Amino acid sequence: MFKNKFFNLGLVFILVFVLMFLTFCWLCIFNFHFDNVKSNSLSITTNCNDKTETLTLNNNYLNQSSNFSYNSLSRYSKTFENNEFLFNETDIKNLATELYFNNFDDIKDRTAGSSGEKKFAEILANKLENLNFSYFLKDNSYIQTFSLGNYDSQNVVGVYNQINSNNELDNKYILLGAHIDAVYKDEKSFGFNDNLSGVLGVLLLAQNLINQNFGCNIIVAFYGAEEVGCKGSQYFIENLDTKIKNNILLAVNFDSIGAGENLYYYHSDNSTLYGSVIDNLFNKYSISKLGFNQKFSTLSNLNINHTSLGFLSDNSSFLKAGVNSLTFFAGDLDAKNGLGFFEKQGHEKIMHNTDSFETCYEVFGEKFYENIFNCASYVYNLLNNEGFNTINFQPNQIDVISYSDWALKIVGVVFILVLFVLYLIIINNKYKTKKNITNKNEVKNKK
Amino acid sequence: MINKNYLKISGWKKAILIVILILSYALVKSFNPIAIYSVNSIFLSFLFILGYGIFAWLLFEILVGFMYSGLKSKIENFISMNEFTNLFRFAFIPLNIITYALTNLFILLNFYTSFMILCTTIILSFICFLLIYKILVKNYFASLDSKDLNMSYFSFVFIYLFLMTIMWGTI
Repeated sequence: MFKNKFFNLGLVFILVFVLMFLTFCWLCIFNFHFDNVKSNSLSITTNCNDKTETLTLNNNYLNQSSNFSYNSLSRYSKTFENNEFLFNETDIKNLATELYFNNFDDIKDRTAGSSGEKKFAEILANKLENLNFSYFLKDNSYIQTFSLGNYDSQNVVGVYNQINSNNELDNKYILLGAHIDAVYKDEKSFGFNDNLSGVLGVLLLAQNLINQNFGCNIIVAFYGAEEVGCKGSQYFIENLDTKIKNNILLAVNFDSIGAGENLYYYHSDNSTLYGSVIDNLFNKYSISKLGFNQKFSTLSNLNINHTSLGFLSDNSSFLKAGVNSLTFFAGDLDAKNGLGFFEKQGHEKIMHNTDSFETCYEVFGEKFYENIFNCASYVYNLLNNEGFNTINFQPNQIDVISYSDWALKIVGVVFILVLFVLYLIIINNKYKTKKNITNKNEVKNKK
Repeated sequence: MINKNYLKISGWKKAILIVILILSYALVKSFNPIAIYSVNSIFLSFLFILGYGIFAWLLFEILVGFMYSGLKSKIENFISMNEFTNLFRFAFIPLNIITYALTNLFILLNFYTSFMILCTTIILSFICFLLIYKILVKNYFASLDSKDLNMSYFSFVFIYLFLMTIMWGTI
């Protein structure tokens, strides 16, 4: 039919090209569907100096606000019942006013290494002092400064000793942490959710634990320079005394826990003693686990796996160091027809874009504070859980190698080396037998 | 035997072959969740994934080019660079599509881990190189000293696999 073979080949090319193009279009249209709903005439202004918040709401917002109740938004029917928390959402708001709104102008830009981050670290150090936290660092200071090339950043660390045994092995620690730096963007993004929410959650939880004599030493650590690669937490864990590191029962990390349709937690993909207790307990609550079973979108045919999302915060430093860790964050990973990260379906991404009090309150209302409260109370219940307290603690239960990219690559290289050696053996045998056969044939011919 | 005319293509036909190869690489790289997580718009996501595909293709072209120049003294009388690289391009399109399908399968089976994907990629690439070698020997190098060629070719194959593993995750 086709005399020219090239013509035939050209047709095949064009057909494959069109098919590939259609596949990409299909991927784009059906899986990368971003439904950006812009807010209408809602305006919320915050007057930080007068400590007052003026909310101008239009009818549209008031109509929507009924949808912001926690129960109607949650896709779970399970509710949180065993609530023994001493503090509530009002305490979180007061904390937010004290730490954030009162110092807004100084700390609105908390980029890693900035003066805003430094100022916020000082504010948190004062707060720890007010809460009667002792110095954790050897230089009798709350602030641990570290250099990262052209700039300095800082962690804020304090400890509340409830057990002070002479035997180091008896001193068990719970590490509560959140990062203090943020992504600042053109007077739009001030890190209200990422990560003031985490800082508030940690302080709320710490206050609760010290007031109820939890029976374990509590380290509170606020890490700097997270957004540039978890540098603060890495520095902290690398410079931590091994005896203390081996006695950390659990390192809890809160990152962006306010703005989100749902709450998520992650501890490890590998099964650990703590992991089973955490999973069993959290199964009762309105919170999902990140891991092998979680996909980006239930309708998406791509089904991007959530596993790696568990490594995007300071908990990765602890996982790599073999410390049991647990991290929380809020979002809407189950958004239908949406690939990518959203806090709420139908609203553009808040994280690093429009992360301000105004946006968070507009989209989530009181649910923002409820999320922080819930995260703190889940951890509180976990630490008071019988299963958790009866665990025969063993340090370094985490399979460290799973969490290192380089370890993965080394395994890959070793795998190729094995292939190479096998190849050499096979090829030598092959040509040896070939040579033998040819030699024998030559001998036969000579004869 | 393969039709040698298919490997002699140039001009716009070769350009389409390269575009299909880039798209097939992009298809495989579309599984990078961090890329999609960090970029939350349709246009940027598309660019991001296409960018990953182009980087992977560039690495491929460079390594195949090195492979030809390394083997040039032995094979230049038998096969031109255009034919040699086209053979690899033809072979890597189905390889990428198979990798994409297998990744999907692993996800469906809840078996999606970095180890699994990396090892599968290494094994599939190695099988692909073996097949290419068989095709070359059968169609072009029948009169060559096979052991010498074999050792030279596969030393480049292992260098390719090492580099691919080291660059894996970066691109």
